[in-house]
Amino acid sequence: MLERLPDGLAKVDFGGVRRSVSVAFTPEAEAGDWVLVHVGFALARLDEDEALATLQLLGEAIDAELSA
Amino acid sequence: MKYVDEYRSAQAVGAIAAELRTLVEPGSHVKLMEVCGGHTHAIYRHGLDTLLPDEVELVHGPGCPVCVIPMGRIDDAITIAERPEVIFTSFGDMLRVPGGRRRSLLEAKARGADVRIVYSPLDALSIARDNPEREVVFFGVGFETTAPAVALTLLRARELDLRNFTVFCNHVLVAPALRAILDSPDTEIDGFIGPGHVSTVIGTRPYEFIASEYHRPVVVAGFEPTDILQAVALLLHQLREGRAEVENQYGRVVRDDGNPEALAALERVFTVRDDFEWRGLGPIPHSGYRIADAFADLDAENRFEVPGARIEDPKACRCGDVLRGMAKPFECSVFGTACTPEKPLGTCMVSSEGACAAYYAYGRHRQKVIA
Amino acid sequence: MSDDVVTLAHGAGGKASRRLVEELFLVELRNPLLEPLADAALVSANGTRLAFTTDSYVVRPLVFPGGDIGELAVNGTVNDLAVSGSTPLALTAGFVIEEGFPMDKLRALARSAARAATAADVPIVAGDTKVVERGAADGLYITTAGIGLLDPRAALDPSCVRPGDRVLVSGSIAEHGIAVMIARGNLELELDVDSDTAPLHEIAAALCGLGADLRWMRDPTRGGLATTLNELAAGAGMSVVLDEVAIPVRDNVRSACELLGIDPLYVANEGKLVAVVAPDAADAALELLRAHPLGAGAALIGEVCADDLPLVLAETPFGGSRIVDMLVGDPLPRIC
Repeated sequence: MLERLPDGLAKVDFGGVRRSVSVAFTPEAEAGDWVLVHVGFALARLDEDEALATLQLLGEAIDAELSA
Repeated sequence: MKYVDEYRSAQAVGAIAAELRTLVEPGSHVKLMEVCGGHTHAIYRHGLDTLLPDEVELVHGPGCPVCVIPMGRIDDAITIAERPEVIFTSFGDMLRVPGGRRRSLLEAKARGADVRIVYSPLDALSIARDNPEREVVFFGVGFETTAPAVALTLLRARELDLRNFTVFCNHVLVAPALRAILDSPDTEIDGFIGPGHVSTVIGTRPYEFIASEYHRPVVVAGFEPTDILQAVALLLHQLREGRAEVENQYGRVVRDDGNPEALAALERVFTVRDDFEWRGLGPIPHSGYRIADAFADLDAENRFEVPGARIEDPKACRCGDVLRGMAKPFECSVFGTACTPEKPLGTCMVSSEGACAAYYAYGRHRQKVIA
Repeated sequence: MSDDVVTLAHGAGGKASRRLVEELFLVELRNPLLEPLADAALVSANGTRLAFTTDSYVVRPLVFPGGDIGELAVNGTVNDLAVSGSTPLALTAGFVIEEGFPMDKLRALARSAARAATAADVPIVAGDTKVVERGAADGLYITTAGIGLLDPRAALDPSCVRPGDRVLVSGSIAEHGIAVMIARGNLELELDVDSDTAPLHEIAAALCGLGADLRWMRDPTRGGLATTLNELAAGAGMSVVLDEVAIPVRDNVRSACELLGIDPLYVANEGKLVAVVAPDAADAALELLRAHPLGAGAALIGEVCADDLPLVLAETPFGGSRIVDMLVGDPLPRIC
């Protein structure tokens, strides 16, 4: 999310493409957060801790495979 | 893009695929169903089904909300679109879906109907504001992922006191469809990969009945290859350990309680229909939304007359079996011949997320190789 | 043909377009020079071999980031001549103009066409203008035709393709289609992408220097790279196996495509060419392309293989492969 706009909207960047989306369902999201967007609405804020936890598990799987 | 590339890494995929092989008994047969068009698409696009051990079979359930719209409802949409005063707005995927006489919205457009593709229902609202002398109708299609967006659009239409905007509501719910599949006498599904984006809205609680009443494990998964394979691993662990629980692999965006604002919007604007017909599966109780009475004036079904006919699928169509995981696309006698993505006979071929369409695009040459 | 009216799908450049040409126009207009259905026809006159081609331009909007219909109309025909292995000699241009079209806009577009023609070293030697009533032409349609002198070194045909031949693309794909889609304004996306419209006569001529090692070239316009490669597979009777990761796509174009649910392989290009070369010539071909500004992003993207069922296949990084089918209708966004 790049910046909040008036009327419950925010400008979001999708890897170089920008669009305004509604943040009615993610009122807690702030500039700098990552959000999941569907048909012009942000549905969820990416939880960085959870994201890292999942990546951690992936890392462990890779390590297990490499040492097998 | 950040938070996408890391989940796609070939190395991680290979590692989990290797782990899966250690989780199955040779010679056993495990049938896992996924019920999300996005998952179907991702699995085929990345060839993930080829990475699974032979013992694990992936079947594709009714995860494509475009595909399950009955032909009669498409005809209703076309009837509305053909009215000269109407600007009919829709997500792009719906345009090619054929109705009862093999006519589609795309054909109606070619014959002069004002049909426009929009990315968001809010865009349809803008069109209504910019064209006060026309009637703008939005074709509401999608699971609980999309329904909140439409709910909010209706609330905004009410705020703006728009008189020329209505929604033709065909939103469906995932959990009742899963129950219908589990109730089906010949179902042999051992576990479910839970839909990713629907779950950001509804959370993981609606799937608990699958574990508690039907004793099957459910793992809600993300869409990257590593997410899906990780979910399969978690399901296999549960099966090995004799557990049946709802787990959340997609914790980075799915909260167990879902999204309260989105759920509130759904509650306010929609009412659950007593039953709704799913193409290929027949009527399923409490599986569809209609617009609540308080917003009845924004309901296209109240503003426009539609034929409302029930139209049967062609006899050769085996979509019902494919949707329940009882048949593979290539086992249908008309797959790839009378029924192709260009001229789909049944729901599974209709959108690129339908099981048959995905298989046609991504898998059919492998079938040739195996045969 | 079971379709009883023409739909927009027939204009998209994929299967339906092919049917329209093969089942209606080819049937009615049948003659041996038309049947190869190449980008340009080869006509002989007193021992001189000429390439002859035509194209119509109906792009909406008329002006888009990176170009306009005037430039497009010139480059498009220049490119059809270039990829048929010929040096453009002359173009003609026909303008169908809607009543009420502003004169200064028309002047600007004519200027664009003139600039593009100069850049491509080809004169526009004849033309026509017609005006139609308001509402009948969407502003402006341009049809260009071109003749070119066939390069004697070039012997380009799908039948020249051999198993093991390499497939190259001259740069990143999908930019024109995305630029136009965004410029239409319906999708409310912002991104910096320019149409890649450009004349390819110089890089095509450079590749002709490879002689018989250059088997076939085409510019992947409507229907994108996927459609062009399907035409190659069908014409050569062999499969084309692509390395998905090697296909160059700019990051923001890839993101826009993901957002819209469109596969970049199906999006139009107006300044790129695809070439099939003998395996030993691949490195030289890439060098030739990369030496020119328009070929700086050139890449080796695949290989031709013998197969009894000619298909285009894309191999994914995970070892899976998928069929890249002909475009079915307009690329439509996905919903979930």
